[in-house]
Amino acid sequence: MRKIQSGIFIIPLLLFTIFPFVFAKGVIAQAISLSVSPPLFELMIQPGKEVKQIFTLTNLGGDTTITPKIIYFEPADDIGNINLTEDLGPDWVMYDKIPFNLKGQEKFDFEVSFSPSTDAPEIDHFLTIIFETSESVDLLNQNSSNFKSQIGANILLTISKDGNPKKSAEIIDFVAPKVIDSLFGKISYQIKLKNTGNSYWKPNGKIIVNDEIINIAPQNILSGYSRNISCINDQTLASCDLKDRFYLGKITAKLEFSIDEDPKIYQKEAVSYSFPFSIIGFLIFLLTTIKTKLIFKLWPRKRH
Amino acid sequence: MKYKYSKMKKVLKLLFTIFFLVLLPLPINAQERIESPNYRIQFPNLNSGAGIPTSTNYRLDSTIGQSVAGRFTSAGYIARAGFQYIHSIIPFSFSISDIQKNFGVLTPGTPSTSSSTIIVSAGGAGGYSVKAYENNPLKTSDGSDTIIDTLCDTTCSETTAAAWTLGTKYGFGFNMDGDDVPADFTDTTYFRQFSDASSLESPATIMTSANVGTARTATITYKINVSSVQPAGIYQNKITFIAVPSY
Repeated sequence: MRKIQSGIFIIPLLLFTIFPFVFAKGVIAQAISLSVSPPLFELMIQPGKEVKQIFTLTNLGGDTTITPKIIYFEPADDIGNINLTEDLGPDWVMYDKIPFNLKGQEKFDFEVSFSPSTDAPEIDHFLTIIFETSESVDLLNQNSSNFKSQIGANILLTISKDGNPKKSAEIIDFVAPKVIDSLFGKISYQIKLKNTGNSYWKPNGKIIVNDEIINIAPQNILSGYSRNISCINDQTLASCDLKDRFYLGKITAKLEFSIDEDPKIYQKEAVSYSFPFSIIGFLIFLLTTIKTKLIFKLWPRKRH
Repeated sequence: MKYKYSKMKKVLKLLFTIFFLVLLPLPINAQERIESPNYRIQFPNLNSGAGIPTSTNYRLDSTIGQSVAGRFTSAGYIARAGFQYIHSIIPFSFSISDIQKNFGVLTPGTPSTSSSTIIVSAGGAGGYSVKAYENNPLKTSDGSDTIIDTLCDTTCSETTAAAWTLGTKYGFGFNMDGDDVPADFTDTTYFRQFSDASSLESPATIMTSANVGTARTATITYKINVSSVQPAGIYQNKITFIAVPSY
């Protein structure tokens, strides 16, 4: 009876003390923690059509008010980073601009509608949807900094009447080390491509070295800009490295790619030379050592 | 004879040592491949992420996953959500451990420091950058007095860090330590100013990576040092952190 009575107290105690810790998800009360998905949305659309896309925003921090906005971005460098501008997106990119409350651990599906008018010019729009948290209320009135955060997802938008905007590429760099050591040398190819067309595209292609193939990553290159392109190795992003093995003599690598579905193939070659410098050096050292030792051994005999 | 044999052995030992010293490093391959249990890259599936686009006129879910952007179908659009070469369940996320930093009572000549932790996951993105800026330097509410942005021991800016160790150098600045932080933060004594929006300075990058990654973590340490002639008052400002994926 006494056990049952104690159980009556213990069970609620467990419920209110241990269980919240066990089942609590990663909520950070006095922190800013936001996630957005998808991080990238690509759309090619005919003027006069309409498409809606949902961006899901999740708040794992404390309760906050979110202010959404869609603004233009510019490439910041050659590796795909961006600089946000102050320019708001076109008025036919429609969304609810009114700030909304988002409690901790809450998800919000934010809808964006794209409906360019029939006379919209056939150009690209590079946009970022930004969700900004509200700043905290200063209750202590001390020397302090208040934080706000903005999290974004990028939108690459092409307006095209026929779905075939002019796309063209230029190979800025396809380079490799000129000379390497056969044993210890490593060949890593650097690829830099430029978009000389009117619309963004991705390269689909590979580097071919004899029987070895290195696939290049289909990373977006915006019109008028260039970008360093990575490779894909075993389903992961990687630098464009040739396998570590013993190479001797001339190594010719051919870069081949097309842009999106365009049948045109872009090509460029890079040549490296591999020589066994370390082996030759070792042999020279070996011979010199043996020769020195022999002279050293013979020298005392001559003196006698 | 015995002496000669031992000399020969010594020479052979020396040769073997050199031989192995030269050849032993062979199996050490400098792998630069980036791998994580949280993502994988594959063709041609796409990370559909949060959404299949919808339209009033057409069945739209069929367009997602189209491998390349080509000629239009009857729908009049081609849409793709997420990165073509990354199949990830991790959304792009950003967190900072504080919503406000109180620096307490400032003592002239005695620097006050405080830290926050920043965590970024870019599993479903090709890379990311985090930028930061302040609305203005620390100011009193009426704007009459300011704690200047630090110039470090010699000179530093919103884009270049420098050592700030002297107690006679005053101002407000920050240090970054951890994953994907700019290389000019050589160690924890190196500081920068925040970009000042009131001076039309652009937000400066404080974390960046060209690769996918999860839970990339850095510590931001704020530092204030005031002189004995700094007027008394409550000094405050607002700092905005901007986290965006790459394209």
